[in-house]
Formats: sequence, C-alpha cells, structure tokens
Amino acid sequence: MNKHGKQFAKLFSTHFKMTFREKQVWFWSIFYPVLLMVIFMIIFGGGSSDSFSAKIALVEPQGNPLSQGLKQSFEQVDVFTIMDDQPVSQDQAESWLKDKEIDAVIVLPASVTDTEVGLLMNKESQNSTSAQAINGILNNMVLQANLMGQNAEDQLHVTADYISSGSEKLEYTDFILTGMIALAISQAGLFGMVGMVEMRRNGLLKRLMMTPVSMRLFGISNMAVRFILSAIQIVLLGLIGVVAFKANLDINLLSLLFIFIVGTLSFAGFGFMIAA
Amino acid sequence: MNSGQAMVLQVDRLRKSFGSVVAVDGISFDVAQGEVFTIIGPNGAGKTTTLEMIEGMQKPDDGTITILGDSWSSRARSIKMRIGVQPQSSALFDLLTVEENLDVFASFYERQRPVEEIMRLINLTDHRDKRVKTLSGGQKQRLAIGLAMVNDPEIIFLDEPTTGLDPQARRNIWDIVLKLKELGKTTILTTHYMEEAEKLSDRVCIVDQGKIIAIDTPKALIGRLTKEREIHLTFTGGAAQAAEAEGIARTTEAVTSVSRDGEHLIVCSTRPEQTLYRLFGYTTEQEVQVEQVSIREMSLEDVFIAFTGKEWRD
Repeated sequence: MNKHGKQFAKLFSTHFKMTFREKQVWFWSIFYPVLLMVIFMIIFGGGSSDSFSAKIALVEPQGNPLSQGLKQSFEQVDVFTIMDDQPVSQDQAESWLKDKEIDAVIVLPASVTDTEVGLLMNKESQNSTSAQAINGILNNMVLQANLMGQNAEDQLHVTADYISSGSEKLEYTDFILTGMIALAISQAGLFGMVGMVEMRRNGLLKRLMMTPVSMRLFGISNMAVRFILSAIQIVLLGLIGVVAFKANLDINLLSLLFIFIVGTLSFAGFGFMIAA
Repeated sequence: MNSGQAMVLQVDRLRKSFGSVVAVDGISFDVAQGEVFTIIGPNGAGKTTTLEMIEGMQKPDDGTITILGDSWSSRARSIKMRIGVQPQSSALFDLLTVEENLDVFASFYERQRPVEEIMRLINLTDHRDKRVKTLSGGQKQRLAIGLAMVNDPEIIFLDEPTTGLDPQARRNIWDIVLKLKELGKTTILTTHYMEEAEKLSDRVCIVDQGKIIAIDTPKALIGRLTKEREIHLTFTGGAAQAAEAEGIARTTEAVTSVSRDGEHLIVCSTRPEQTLYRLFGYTTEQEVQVEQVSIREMSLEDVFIAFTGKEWRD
C-alpha cells in the first residue's frame, strides 16, 4: 500500500508538471475561457437589467396647468429618463429622435382645452417592444389623467406580476458564467486527451508498458491532475464572474460537483479510449 | 560458446509474420551472463521485431523465449523488474528535467540504482535540471539509456542506440556500453553500423531477411573469411619506383594480385607479413623511400558481403 502510495505521488507529480509546464494548457484551459467570458460579459452582459427604461424628451409648446401637471407626472415615472430634465423645443427633440438618442418625444398639450398629447417615435423602431411599452404607459397615464379630471375612480385595475421559474432572477451574465464553466471543463478534458494521444504517438505509453508500473495508477493520477485543472477553472471563472460582473453563482453545489466529476471523467475517458 | 557461464537469455526458433511478410523466420540464440551481444543487419532485417518479442512487447507466432529463467506468459512482472529497455524512439517525459525523468522511472521498480550514479554514468550531471525538450539528440539518447539502467537491471536492451547521431555522440554512447560491460551487465544491442558491432560486442549475430546468417565473435567471423589482405604502398620517388616495386611484388610468393596507380601500389597477399618483408628488403637495398604503408583489415562489412553476397548499405 505504501509502495503504491509512493508511486502514485510520483506519477501525480509527473502529470502535474507535464500539465502545468505546458504553455498551451495555460492558454487554452485558463486564459482562453477567462478571455471568452470577459468578452461575452462585456458584449451581452451590459444591456441586461431587471426593468424597462426609456429616454424621452418633453416638448411643451406653451406652459399651462394641464401641461405642468402632466410634466410632473412624467417626472415621477421611473422608467422614463427625461433628456435635459426639462422641456425642449420640438426641433431639438425631433433631431434627437432621428439620431436615436432618445426613444420618444412627448408633446404636451398647448392649452388647458387642448386634448391632444402627442407621441413621436422613431419609425424604424416602431415595432420594437420599447415603442409598444412607451405607447402603453403613455395611454395609461392619459387615461389616469382623464379619470382624475372627471373625479372618477377606476373600478377595476389589473395587477400584473411575473413569477420566475428559477430560484432567483436569472440574468444573461449568469448563463454566460455557467456556460463558460461547462466549456472550461470540456476544454480541460479535451486537453488531457491530446496529451494522452501525444504520449501514445511518441511511444511513451509503450515505453511505460515495458516497466512494471501500474497503468491503472498512471491513469488515476492523470485524472487527479485533470480534476485540479478543472477546479482551478471553476474557481477562477466563478470569481471573475461574481466579482467583476456581478453574476449570480446561483448553482446547486451538489449538482455542480456531480457534473464536474462526470464531465471530467467522461472527457478523460474519451482520451484513454482514443489513446489506447 | 561461453559454456562455463550461465545463460541469461535463450531464444528458440522464434517466428513472427505480419500478414504475408515474414519478419522473423526461425531465429535461435543464447546469451551468456555479462556478454555484449549485438544483432546486426540492414533495415528491415527483423532486428527490432526480434528484440521486441524478447522484451515482451510483441507475441511471437512461434518459438520460445526464456529470459532470466522465466517466461513472459508466467512471470511478466518479475521479468520487467529485472530488465532495462531503451526502445528505438527515445520516449521521454519531455517537459520534465533529466533528473525528474530518472526519478519517476526509478519509482516504478523495487530495486534501484542511485540516480546520481546514473547521471554520472551517462554524463548528464551538468544537465540534470535541463528539461528534456532542450536536450540534443545525443543527450536524449543517453538519457534513454540511463532510464534503462534505473533498476540496475541484469539485462539491458538497446535498440539502435546510435542511429541518427553524429560521430562524437556515437562515441559517447559506446563509452556507456563499455562501462556497462565493466559493470558486468549483459547487454543486447541492435545496430546497423558494422564498425559499432565490431568495437563493442563479444558476439555478433548477423541477421538478414528474418534469418540468422552468422553468429560468432567479430574476430572469428572475420577469420572465417579468406586470409587475404590488401597492402597499400605509396612511393616518394613516384611512378617509376612504384613500377619497379610492382615487378618485385609480382615475383613474390603468396601474392594473389598486384595493381598500380601512379606511385600507389596495391598488393593482395595471403601472407602479408612475408610479402612486406620481401618488399621492404628491396626498398632498403635500393634506398627507395616509402611514404605510406597500410594493411586494410577485413571488417564485418566484408563478412556481411561474403555471407550474403549483397552490398552493405548503411
């Protein structure tokens, strides 16, 4: 037993050195997944937030109590960000709209008797969800104002709530993070496979079979190093994802461990199968 | 041969074919304790196949191998513990250093020779911390031989240890083989360099097309050839003196043929000492100066040619 332990330690350190002295392993198994994750996080992670928001510009042709009231209520709506924080001229607003700097222009009524609230949106994005949302919100606000004007209270209102099937809200960054971890595990496995095929090609496996070394111990120690490499990848990617990109590492640890072991073993198994 | 000594390896009527090609066709030989035994032959003669069957890497189609009293089928592990192998392709852990390589291989065996001592023997002590990747071809080959010695084996197999090396690197390998011999190790070696077999071996086994052509000491093999030797003489005085000496040589006993090229004379004789005595008697008498004298020794190459009737190709 002690003899086996010693031989295992030697083989383990051999595989360890062979793996971590290989620059390609550093690049493909550590640097590459991290780089890929950072790129994906930057490209796709930024746009995602929990709620809808839109930039609008207000145009107030002539100040009056009605437009003042509406203006205040727009300011109170969180989803709207008002450009310049105050009404601007119609021309200015339209040029912003053309440049797509804002999502919509709202033209407030010119007088108390005017019943028109104008909504200008970019033609190219008229079918977008934000256009529909702005339209909906605006309609709702006008309806509220109408009801208030008539001193009537609405009898019915809809309360909408969405229930996520995940344990907590899942964002795109979370998907990237878990995806990258999966990629990294397969990458590490694949690399071990290449190493094994290389050993077969250059005759090292054959050479080892000429010695009394236990090929089982050789395989087990190889897998042990593979596990370490995968563990490093998971910790590193997890840390970068959580710390730098505020991703939720909302993973069932038990199933992660299961996937980690099965994934690493199956890729290592492929390697042995091809090399044998 | 070596009847007083114990036989450490007995190979009997070994046969192996790959498809329709017969690689080894009934090879039998015995190797005694402490011998350097060389299997020599051109490429594709069956040297490596024979060696790999003895090393347990290939199963013979027919025939038996007894190695250190054991057979591969019954005691493979015990045999592996007691032999050392350097295969033709130097298979090493190339991201590990020289010392680390020796260390790992040593851990496989119950018996070990100190790594320090092996590094000294293969002359790599200065390069112990160098990764294999950075070593030269000769250094790698020496390390491969070193790896075959980590368990202080009773028999060492070296498969073409000098192929592809420059003359200096080859000589270094020869030194190692001679040191192994001093240590009393039995060495079985394959090569396709005649010069090497002649220099290193106690006995040579010439193989061609899977069959043994001759098996004996290098000296005895050469001795089996005709006793005729070529004597080369170059005269300081030029072609005229050489022509005169040619006349003398033609009338000398035991001379089989004489040819002349300018001041250069070639005399073939079955009794070269007598022929030389006669020729030098003449030159001393006439005060003729001889610039160069040489007798070309017969080599294993000549043996190969004589036994197979084929040209030797390196």
